Amino acid sequence: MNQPNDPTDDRIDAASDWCLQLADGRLQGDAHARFQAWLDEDPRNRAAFDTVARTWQALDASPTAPSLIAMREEALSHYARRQSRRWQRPAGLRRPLWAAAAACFLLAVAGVGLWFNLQPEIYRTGVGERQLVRLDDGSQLSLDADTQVEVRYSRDRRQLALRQGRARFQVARDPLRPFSVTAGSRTVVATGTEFSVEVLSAQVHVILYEGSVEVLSRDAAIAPAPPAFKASQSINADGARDLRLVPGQELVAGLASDGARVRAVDAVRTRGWESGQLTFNDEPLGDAIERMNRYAGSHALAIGDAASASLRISGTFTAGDNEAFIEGITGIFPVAVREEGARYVFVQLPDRPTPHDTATVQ
Amino acid sequence: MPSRPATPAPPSFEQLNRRFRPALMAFFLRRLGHHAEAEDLTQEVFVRLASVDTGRMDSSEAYIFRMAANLLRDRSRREKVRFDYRASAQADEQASFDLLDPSRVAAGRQSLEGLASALRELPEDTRTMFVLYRLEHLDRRDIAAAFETSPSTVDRHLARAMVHLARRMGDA
Repeated sequence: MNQPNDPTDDRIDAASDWCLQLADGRLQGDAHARFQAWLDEDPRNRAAFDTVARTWQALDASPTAPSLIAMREEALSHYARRQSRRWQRPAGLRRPLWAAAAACFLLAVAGVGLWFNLQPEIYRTGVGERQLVRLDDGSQLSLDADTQVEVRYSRDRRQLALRQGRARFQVARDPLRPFSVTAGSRTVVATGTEFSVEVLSAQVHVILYEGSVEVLSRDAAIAPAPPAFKASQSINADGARDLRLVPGQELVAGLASDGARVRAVDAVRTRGWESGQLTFNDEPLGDAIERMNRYAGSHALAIGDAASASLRISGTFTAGDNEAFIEGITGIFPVAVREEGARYVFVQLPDRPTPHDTATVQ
Repeated sequence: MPSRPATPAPPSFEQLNRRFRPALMAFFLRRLGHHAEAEDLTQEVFVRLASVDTGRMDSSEAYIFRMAANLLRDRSRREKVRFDYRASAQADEQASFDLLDPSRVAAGRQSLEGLASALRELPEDTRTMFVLYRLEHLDRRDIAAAFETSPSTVDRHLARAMVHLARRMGDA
């Protein structure tokens, strides 16, 4: 079966190459497409990859088997011998000294690097300000006004935290370093995908635009998996709290609580803020005001009573144009605006009958 | 410098990737056929592993492949809504026939002896590099430094070892 020039051999060669690239985390970018093309080329390629991957895994099954232990010990002592030989060069070459000096220098540099890594990088926008940020790995952040994001990158994780406001994340694919964004009680975990996270009136909003994300309750992301998680047949023993979104869906969850709901959204409109358009779709006036306030100049908007807080509004407004917003809302709803210090406060008009409890403004 | 084979330190994400990614891909490819889906589900296994404290994580093969089988089952349940019932029922069935299948474990033990003797047949340097990489989880650059060669030379040795072992397994 294994004659020279047997195409099976070539397949095994290629499959071994793919296997090693996968194992080393070096299969990235275009390589995925080439791997896929190779798999689809011929069912025998798939079979070859299967054989190689099984072989690779079989070595993991019992690394402490006596026959393997002997070889591991040999390999390690071989490695140790070679290591020590490198450090015992003839003195004339002065290599050990140079090497030692270089090693000290590297350690010092690594120490400084480590210290820097522990400090998160903070990106912040002020009222009325938007910002685009490109991170080291090629991921991009688009920050809404009045927003703060902390970024911590380490060798095997990319951890971000949204402290306030809203941001859209375009994640560069890196299978070895998962990308996560924490906001309140939720952690969104993703690789190679696009989504936004927003903190709004004690709730977290996650909208997925592309790829897939997993929204974990924060405890699940930090604490070890509970025993039930390991023992139960379904990995989703925690399923009530951990959710997976598909593109075009929005998850809304309390900042501190477990409850969450998922709904479909208009992906294009929800991205309007990036071009200065704020679209509301049957949302409480309070939420709309909080978003408008990210752009408010001298006068912020506020809610004055429960009746106006309970209004649900729909419509598109220009970020920063609070006058038009006030006009639009007071023109449709039985509410008025009072000036209180540096704020415009919405209150219900006492005498007028309520025509509808919801309406659309444009 | 490591001197004993037993290394109980918590596995790094890189280590887990090296140990399990190829086989997870193969596992999902066997059952799904679509590369992209297999890639997504493989990724999901690692996302879930990453969201757990690595220090206390169960990184055993059994745990990881049970997780993989469960993801596959969850997926087929989701797909059931949209796709043909028979296909998903079959996927469900396949998901339970996972890598924990006792007959496969027994076969694994037999083939381990085959693997050990196949490893013995390799030239010493090739075998040493492969064992250091695959079983001691050393970085290929560290191996290259010890052998005073380049990482790409180490890659060639690793590939040669892999091909030899896979052929032995394929023949069995």
